Amino acid sequence: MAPDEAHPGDFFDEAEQDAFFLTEGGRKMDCQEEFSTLLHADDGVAFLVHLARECTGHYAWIDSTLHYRHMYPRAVQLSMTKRRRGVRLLEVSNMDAMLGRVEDVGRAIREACRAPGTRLVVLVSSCVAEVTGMQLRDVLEQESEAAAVPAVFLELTVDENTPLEQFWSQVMRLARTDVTREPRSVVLVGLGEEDSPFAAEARAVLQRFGVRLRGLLLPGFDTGTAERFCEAGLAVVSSAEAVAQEFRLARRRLEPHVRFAELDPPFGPAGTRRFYRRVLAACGVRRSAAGLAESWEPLRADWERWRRRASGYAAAVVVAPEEAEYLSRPRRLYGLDLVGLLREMGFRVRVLCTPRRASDRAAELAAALRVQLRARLGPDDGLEVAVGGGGEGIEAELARTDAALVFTEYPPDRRITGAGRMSFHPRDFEPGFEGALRTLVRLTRLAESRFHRSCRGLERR
Amino acid sequence: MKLVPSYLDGALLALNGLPGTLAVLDSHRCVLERTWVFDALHDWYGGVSAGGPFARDRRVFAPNWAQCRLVGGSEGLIEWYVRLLARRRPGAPILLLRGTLSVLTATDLEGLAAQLRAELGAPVICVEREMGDEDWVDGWRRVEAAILRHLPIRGGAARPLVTGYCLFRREGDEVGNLEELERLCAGAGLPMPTWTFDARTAALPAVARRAPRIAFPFSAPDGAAAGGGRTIGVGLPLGIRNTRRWLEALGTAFRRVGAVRALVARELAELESRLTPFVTNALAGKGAVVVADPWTAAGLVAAARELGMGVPLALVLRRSDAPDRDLEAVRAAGADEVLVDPEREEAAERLRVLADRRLADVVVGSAVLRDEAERAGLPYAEVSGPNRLEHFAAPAPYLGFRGMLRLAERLGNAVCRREHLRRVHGRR
Repeated sequence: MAPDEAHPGDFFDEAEQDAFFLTEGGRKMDCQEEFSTLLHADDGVAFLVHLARECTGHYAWIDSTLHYRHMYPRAVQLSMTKRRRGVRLLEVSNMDAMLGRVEDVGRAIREACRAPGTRLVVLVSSCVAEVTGMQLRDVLEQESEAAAVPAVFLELTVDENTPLEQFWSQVMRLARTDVTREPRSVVLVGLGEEDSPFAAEARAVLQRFGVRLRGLLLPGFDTGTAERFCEAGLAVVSSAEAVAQEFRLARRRLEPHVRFAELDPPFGPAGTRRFYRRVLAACGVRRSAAGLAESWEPLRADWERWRRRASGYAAAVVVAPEEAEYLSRPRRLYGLDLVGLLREMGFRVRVLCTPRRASDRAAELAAALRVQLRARLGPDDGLEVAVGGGGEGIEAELARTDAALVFTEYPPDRRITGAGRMSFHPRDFEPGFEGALRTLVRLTRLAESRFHRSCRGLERR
Repeated sequence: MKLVPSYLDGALLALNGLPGTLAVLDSHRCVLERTWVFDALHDWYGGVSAGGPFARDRRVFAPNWAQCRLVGGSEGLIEWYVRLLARRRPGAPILLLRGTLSVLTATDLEGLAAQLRAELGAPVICVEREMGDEDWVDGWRRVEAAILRHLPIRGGAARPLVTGYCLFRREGDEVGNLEELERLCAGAGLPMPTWTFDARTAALPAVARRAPRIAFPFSAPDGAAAGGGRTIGVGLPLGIRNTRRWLEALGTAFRRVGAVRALVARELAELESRLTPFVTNALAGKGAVVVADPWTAAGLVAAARELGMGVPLALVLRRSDAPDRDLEAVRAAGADEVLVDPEREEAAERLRVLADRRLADVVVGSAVLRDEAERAGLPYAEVSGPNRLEHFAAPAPYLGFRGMLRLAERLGNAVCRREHLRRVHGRR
């Protein structure tokens, strides 16, 4: 954007022309995440939303969380599993908005409090209530206190989105602290959902060593897991910045009652082994290497076979100076060590350092990044860090590279498909041993896809 | 929870049919998510939010509101966006659309549009909205009305202009409809019309002075005719009789009665032989629940009945206080019961009961009840919009005679599969 086009507001959600990573603003958006967590929560949460019908929340008719959302800062998408009866949308009519009527809201809260199984009432207030001055927080407090049911008020309004860290702090007030701890038991935070393949794997792997996985929180929420959180011998929080930040206040509140460990998330076979080993060590299991090798053994031959196939292909990552940290500090990118994981899978990696502004020094960035990556990953012939983004534009550069895959956080990315390449995204990476193999298979299939090349006549004859 | 899509859904639907047109929403930025949802779920060929890099090929913008801006008014921000778009895409029409808060805070979009039109020479078009309760049909109509007022007028031959035809998306089902209707027009020697919202050309169509208007039912009955020509009112050609009537209306208007009659005879002879096995083996005696806007719902009810099916329930996606004239067609179409502006919970319960009593075998129409139908064990055929799980690359019309064949195929296969699962695998 030219200097004379400077946006008069404080945020303009348009990415740079050559951006392949989300903008900082896009990565930090923090309102629909709460919505998706609550939609996915169990029936212990009575979930009420006061909104106009054109509010994005109204897409709840789709009855899942798939649509939250196209450019979604969380790495983990919640499943489609139906875990709750639904959400009560208190749709605001024109007249209700004009007159500031709140009687229906009070009635809905009373009904929610009375419903069997309600452990927590959550009322979300959206823009209309804010603009017309409805005091919904007061209504919630009045009704929930009368019914003695814990309540959480969330503002997802014009410029007052309740921060995610406050959301988790509030809902985790359900955790009972007067409990007996089960030393060899674990709760995982920020590592996927309860009914994910990783949860099933983690449960089985830990069980081999006599450690019980009690549940997973964030992005999913379950009132039972929250209530019994402090019974766990250990709470493992993902070190990914987005997760650590999201759970920061809840952790501070619960730290006196639970032992916490912050661990890098389990991506790739080596990362997964490291993760399990540290969890087990924290639970007092000292010798886990042989047992973990046994867990990996059934997948090893397949992994090697697919790795050989992957080694025939290169994957490209386009990075601007301000995005270099996503490669050098994986915690900033959901805990994904992008280059390290691709190399572990056997792909050759091409990092293209592209300047955005005349003042950007791409050559210096490339040199610094090369040093950082080599320091972390060791000398590596399969990794090339080069300066890109010449005058001919990024599409031409992508068309010239030997990479079959190109990383993007803007799928579907026409710059990549237009260059005859396939794109991959952070959500293509799955945690755990089995997740590592599925990731490798998926990325290899993408790399082997001839679709765009065939359609554009780019196939070698 | 209401199932009827909102004003902005309708406005985005109309915008989707105008690929060269841009829009600035006077609403909070989160409403942009509706455009992302539109492209990600509803229309895989849609370009409302722009595919690919979330960068300069975007078509829809919204300001980042804040409390202080609400007090001071958002006109300044909207103006900034209009100037940006006018620089980036010179000559492209720019629509100014109102969100709910814009109605409440009464942003002067009309004044802003007039001022910027005069200053920039760009077609900056304000789309009206009177209240927050307006639904998707209102939104679509408002955009159409605004566009019709700004269509360029030219001289030359008076090719008829289509109004009130809602293209629900750019996929094979909807584009297939256009191709089928054009095939029928060509077959009867009728003049090939100009479609206002057909998503096939970037520029707004120029309309000949005195061009006749073929008025489909989606537009407001009192909508103005661009170019000032006569109005030929037609229904939606969904079903055998509706398609015949549609052709006859055009045949009468354009003096091609004999050609239309001959075409219809040829088409019907072929149609019957192709449809008979589907009717006798799969569909006759079965029940279909219909979910759609009033006109598509009326057509689907008629088509289902022509295929030998009963329609125990038609759920109409229109707000409850919509004008009666919008609901006349569906009420007359022959469903056992018509429910306007349904609540999701009520609709879900009705589906469950109909499925349990084996009075319904399939749901056809908008995907807004897809999950509830699946839970009740009823298969779905997604027709019109919003769509969700069924997408089409190849032509798959549901209008016209070929549309009737395709619709029978989809309904027949859905019903047969359910029967098979029930009988062989013991599923519900």
